[in-house]
Amino acid sequence: MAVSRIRRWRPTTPVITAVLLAAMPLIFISDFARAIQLRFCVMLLLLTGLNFINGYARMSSLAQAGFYGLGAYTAGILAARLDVPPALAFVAAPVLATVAALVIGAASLRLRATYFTMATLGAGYILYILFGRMTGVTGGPNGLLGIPALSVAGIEISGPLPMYVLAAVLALLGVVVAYNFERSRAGRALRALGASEPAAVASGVRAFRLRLFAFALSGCYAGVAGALETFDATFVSPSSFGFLTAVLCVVGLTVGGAGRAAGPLIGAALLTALDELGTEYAGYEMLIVGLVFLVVVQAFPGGVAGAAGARWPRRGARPAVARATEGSAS
Amino acid sequence: MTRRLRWRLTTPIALTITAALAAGCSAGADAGADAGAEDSAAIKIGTLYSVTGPAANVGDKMRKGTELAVEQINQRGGIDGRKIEWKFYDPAGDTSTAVTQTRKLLTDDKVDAIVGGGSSSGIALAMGQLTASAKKLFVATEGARAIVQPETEHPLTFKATFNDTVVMQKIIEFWKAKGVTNVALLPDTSGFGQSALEVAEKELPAAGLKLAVASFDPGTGDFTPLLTKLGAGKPQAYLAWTTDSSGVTFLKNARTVVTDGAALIQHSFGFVDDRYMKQAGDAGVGTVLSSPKLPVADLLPDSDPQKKTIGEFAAAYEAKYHEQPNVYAGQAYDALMLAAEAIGKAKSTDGPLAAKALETLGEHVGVTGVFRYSAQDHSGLGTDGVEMIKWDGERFVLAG
Amino acid sequence: MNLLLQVVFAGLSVGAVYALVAVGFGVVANGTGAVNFAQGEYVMVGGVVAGVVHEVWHPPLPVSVLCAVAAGVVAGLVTELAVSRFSGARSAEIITIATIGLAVALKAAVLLLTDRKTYGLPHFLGERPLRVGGAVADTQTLWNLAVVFVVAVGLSLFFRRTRQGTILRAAADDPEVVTSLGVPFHSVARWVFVIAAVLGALGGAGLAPLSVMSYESGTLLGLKGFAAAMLGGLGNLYGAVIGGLVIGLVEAAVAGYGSAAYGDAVAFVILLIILFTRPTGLFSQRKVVRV
Repeated sequence: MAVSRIRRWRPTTPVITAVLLAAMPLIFISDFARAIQLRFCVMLLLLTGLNFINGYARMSSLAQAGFYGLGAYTAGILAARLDVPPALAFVAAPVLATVAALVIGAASLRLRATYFTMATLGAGYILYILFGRMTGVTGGPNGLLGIPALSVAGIEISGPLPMYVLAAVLALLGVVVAYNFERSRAGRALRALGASEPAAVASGVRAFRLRLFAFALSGCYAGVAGALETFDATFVSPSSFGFLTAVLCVVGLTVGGAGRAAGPLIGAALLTALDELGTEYAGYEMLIVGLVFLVVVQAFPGGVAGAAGARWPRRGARPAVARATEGSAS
Repeated sequence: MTRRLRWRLTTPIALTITAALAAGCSAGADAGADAGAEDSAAIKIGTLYSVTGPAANVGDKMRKGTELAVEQINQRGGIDGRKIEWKFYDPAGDTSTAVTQTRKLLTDDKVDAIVGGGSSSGIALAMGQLTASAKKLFVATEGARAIVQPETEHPLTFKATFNDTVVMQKIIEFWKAKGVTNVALLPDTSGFGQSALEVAEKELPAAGLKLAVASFDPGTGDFTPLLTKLGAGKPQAYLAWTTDSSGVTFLKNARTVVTDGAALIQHSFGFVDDRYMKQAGDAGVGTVLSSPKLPVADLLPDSDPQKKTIGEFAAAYEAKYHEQPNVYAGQAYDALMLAAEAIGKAKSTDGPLAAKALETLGEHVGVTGVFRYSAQDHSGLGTDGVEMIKWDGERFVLAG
Repeated sequence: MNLLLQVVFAGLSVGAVYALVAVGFGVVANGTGAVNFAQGEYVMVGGVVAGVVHEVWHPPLPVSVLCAVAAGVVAGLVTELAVSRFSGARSAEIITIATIGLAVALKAAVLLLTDRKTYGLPHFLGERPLRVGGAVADTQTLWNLAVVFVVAVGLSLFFRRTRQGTILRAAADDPEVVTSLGVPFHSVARWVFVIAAVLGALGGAGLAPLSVMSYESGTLLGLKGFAAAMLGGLGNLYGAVIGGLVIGLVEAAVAGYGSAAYGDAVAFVILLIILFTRPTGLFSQRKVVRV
């Protein structure tokens, strides 16, 4: 078929991601640029994960900051306090975050979308409070110190470049998995579910199980992001996992384009740039974030990726379910 | 046809991402490229304070204090004729942002020293690790002891604030003089409050004082249950330990719930702020605080070594910002002055040399206190810098 | 001192503000189906505006409170304009998410405008507290409880007895019918957002004498107020009042008998329990007395 031949040629999101992640350290070579690039990878993982539940399943989660923190603290506590080998602590982070997502999801994913959002908000906030209060375990409000360097099979991964390479590999892996998931049977079913629940259920989609799977994936990605952050900063503090971070994740994904493969990529780039903006214009950046988000949510529900797609419509008006079950919009 | 459309579709997306990322990275690249054009003789000092986010009012005062010090030094002709080039960033209370910004200061702005640790102990702790591995001098303006202790592990890190152990010691002396033996402590759940709790649980029983504790969340709307619970033990003093505005509510509630007229209502050095006291209204009158000398400098005897320094600082601050300085502005001012003096004495911006210079500085008379750093003490302040003061409804006065 | 009674007084004092916020959530949810994340920021705006007016011009107290209410009206109109009118958005999900943006922007704007200052007000009914049975009740608490009572009764009359109220009640039951009767969606949205914002602003002005207000004060209050609204059944007027008071009481009890260090978690734990076990709330009877 012609379509499959064209697909081979087109620069898909994983290809763009790979080129970007490989090119960035070559173009911007300072250690600081490396730190920014690593932050971009962490954001990309957070948003790619969030895209499963907020984008494809269309259930807005505000728990991403909580899972991110859970990953960061799991890795940090295991490595710094319990002397678990750092590599094992790194792997444990996404595992625990996934389990937490399964538990919270199992209890809340039968609720209507808005109530699910509030349940994830509550769960995320409780996690945030625990990070700051369980001083004996987490180091409390001042944070957790003494995190050893990450090492795999005797090779130490520390310093800007090795950490970046690890982050870039993991981020790219995350994007590739998401890209393939989107095209898999489960991915198509999930997007159909997000587009129209009755139609999807009527065609045999098991709504709850599928959403739970998507939510668990979002937790898993956040856990990886958290572990990366911990071993990069060698420090964990509760201040990074509060309500504002949860909101910023949703803002980034929505402005980038929720439910689009390119959405997390654009969102992560914007959030990384926002860090820089906040550095220079303290106070004004949140005003801008709020207003931009307000406009994008209503005027461009597909975000930047959606707006770019809409300028070059390539499919006629088709039913939402049909559209959602097709290949990616970007 | 289809293929061309797909290509055209991905182009703007790729462009958006590249542009945003380039914006993020380019600031760094620019600074690096410009470095040659800048005055190579300038000494670069970097600073982080949270002027937005939950503790923004604290960070704002700190920023002004440090800014004033930079300005004064440059007007004087700089350090050994080298002007200070000051880089300021706002981490908004978030530690990961602060880590990124510190890296920017160290690797990109290539600062010679860092002054100010983000207005939060947690941030300063995280920054200390980075400055240590970059071998740069770091003078923090945050409270937690762990920022500099143990000194052997933090050879290049100093702080321009009182250790809460020192402040607690002064408060214990005050209580003993007043015949107080039974006290209640209300620390907030921030790092500031919880660190004080740790000290109190160790020091107070050792000093023969009976202690009851109730922690509270910043933003607490009503303290009456806590105060009633603590009141059952009939404490002679209620000491709140917070920088949060809910300390005003504590004062108001304490005046209504605490029926024992002789009981002392106290705040720590985190709450020395005219505005908070005025907002407490009548309930604030008579509140006892432990504080650096800044708010009562004009009431000190002329023999006090700090009187002149504080007077000049306060006058310059008011002239520049048209508001009263508070203790946060004072310690941020001191921190920069200390760093400048160390670099001046060492005649080098090398971290270990500057640190050595600070440790052997002898006495530095600052706004916050008389600093006497040594290899064993990177806080440098003793109880002689702490005054017990009282709010009389109009201003702070010395509490006898 | 009587700890139990003191816990009750403290709980009612804080709970009254939660109740006002919760009623605001209910009114907006009935009118638009959305959860209004800006609800807590209305409290902040009301408190800060009243405080600024008081500090700068020293007018009689009622004038400061009226200014807070006026600020509430403006905030409500701005909300409707920002989250629904300019885009014609009608979907509850989109409005919900859009209010997050509005809340972030409002908070940032107040931070910049007030230069991060805190503001307070004197007590409306005098500083001298009431002593009852070995416990102390603030007169401001009585005022706040009275406001909650008047608001509950007043709103319930408004929704039953006036034409506009009937339209809003009908919109809660079936938005399509109201639209087909020629009442545009944005008219309903404007009414409910203004009502909700005025309630929040009143709560903020009433809270300012008890605890000082700043740009930071609203967010957590809003989230806790939502928990209160869910507890009473989202959209149930009297349920919201009871939900607010219950959450205030439980928080005070945790502070009095347990550890206040976990006080902030109370409302969220209650929110999760209610969402997981009885999402319609304690008092909601479907399609009966929804506001």
